Amino acid sequence: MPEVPLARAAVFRVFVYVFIIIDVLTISGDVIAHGWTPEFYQPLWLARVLHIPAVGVLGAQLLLAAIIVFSLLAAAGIIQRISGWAVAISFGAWMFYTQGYGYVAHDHMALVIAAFVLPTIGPARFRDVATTSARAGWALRVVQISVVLTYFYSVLMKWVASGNITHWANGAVIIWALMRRGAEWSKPFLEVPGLLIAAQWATLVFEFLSPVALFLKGRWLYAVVAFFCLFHLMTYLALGIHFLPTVICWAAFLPLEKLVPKRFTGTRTA
Amino acid sequence: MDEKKRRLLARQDPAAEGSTAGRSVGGRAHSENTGAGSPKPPTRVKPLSKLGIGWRVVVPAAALVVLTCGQFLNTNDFFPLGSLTQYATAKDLNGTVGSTCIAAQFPGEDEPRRLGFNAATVGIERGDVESQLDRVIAHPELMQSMADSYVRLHPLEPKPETMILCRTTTQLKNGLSVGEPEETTLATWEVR
Repeated sequence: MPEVPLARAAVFRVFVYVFIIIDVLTISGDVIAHGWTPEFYQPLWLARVLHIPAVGVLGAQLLLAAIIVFSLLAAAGIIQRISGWAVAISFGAWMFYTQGYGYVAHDHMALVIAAFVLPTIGPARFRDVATTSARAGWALRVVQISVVLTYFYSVLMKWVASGNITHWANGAVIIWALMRRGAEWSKPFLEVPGLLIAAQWATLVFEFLSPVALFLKGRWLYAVVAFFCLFHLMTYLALGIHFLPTVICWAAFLPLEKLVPKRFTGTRTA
Repeated sequence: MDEKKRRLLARQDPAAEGSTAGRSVGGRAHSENTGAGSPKPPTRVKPLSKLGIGWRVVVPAAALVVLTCGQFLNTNDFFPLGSLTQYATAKDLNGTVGSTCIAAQFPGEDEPRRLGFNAATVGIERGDVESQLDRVIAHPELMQSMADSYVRLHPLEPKPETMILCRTTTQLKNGLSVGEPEETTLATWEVR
């Protein structure tokens, strides 16, 4: 098992739990509205197994309040295991209610997995810069693998769904997306389909190569993380698709303990 | 108790911490801090038990199997380990681009008015309805809840008389749109 400083896990935990609050209030904030449309509820497999009923408006509001409170506790490192598991369970239920109405967005895969593996680390403090942990190493590695599989398996899915991967790459997917939800500034690109087809091939290539990130270090790793973040920034500006829940999990690749101010770590400067 | 003792010891060894803070870059603090120039190795928490290692190997492996099956079975049912279907289906350069829309006829207005197809307007997103479009067309009474949501979310607006599920279709030729988008009505519902 890889070992990483516990401080890295402590910082990543703050990233994830703060983002979960933002997520439930904005990106996946449709759960409250879903309380008005229970007829559209199409429970996912696990929700069916657990007999989780459609959510009502009051139930959604209570769940939202619980997620925010538990996330604040977990981000602050208060009763870490309990608050972490409480976030995992309540956020998992929230996901059933945002994804269980027909359309399932796969940008939340790594974030949901992060919510479930973080509590397994146990206590982790900012001052634990010099303390390495296999538990933390395992949890962050699982998040890293989830992130790259979000891209790598999407290539597999394109192959499965299209029958022939070249049909996807030479097709009109980006044209289709731009026509349905493209920003005004990006509409002129519809006049140059060849460029959009080239962009599809490029997307396919870097999604296929994404597992390389698991084996890089230093500047090369930073470059790959920056590249994927810029890619998502571009798709957000062009199509309104941000993939932020996955973007935030790219932080699991970084030496986040460097962000901890020296006064928290108790270290001396030379 | 041991955990507290360990932390106390770690805090009382600022030299070791300082060296680690300055050198821990690549994710393997242990190996990186036992090299030359680093007199003290970092503190390690209690190693994992065999059981701890076992489930940490078995659970991700099982999840990977489920995720892989999700792709080949092309199902989202195993979320968060379902198929990664967003934008995964190939589109024909000479095919059509369809977009589902929702409109409502309001009292005193001559023409139906297009509504935002999102949770803030009708209680549900366009993508959700498109994912169960056949069901909605077969059971247009499902649009009653969209009308009810609209009324609840817009208490100062008039109540719609009719909900109209529609679709705009644009023809492509070699990836370029040709002609004007065609609008068709998929289903209507008289609001109760």
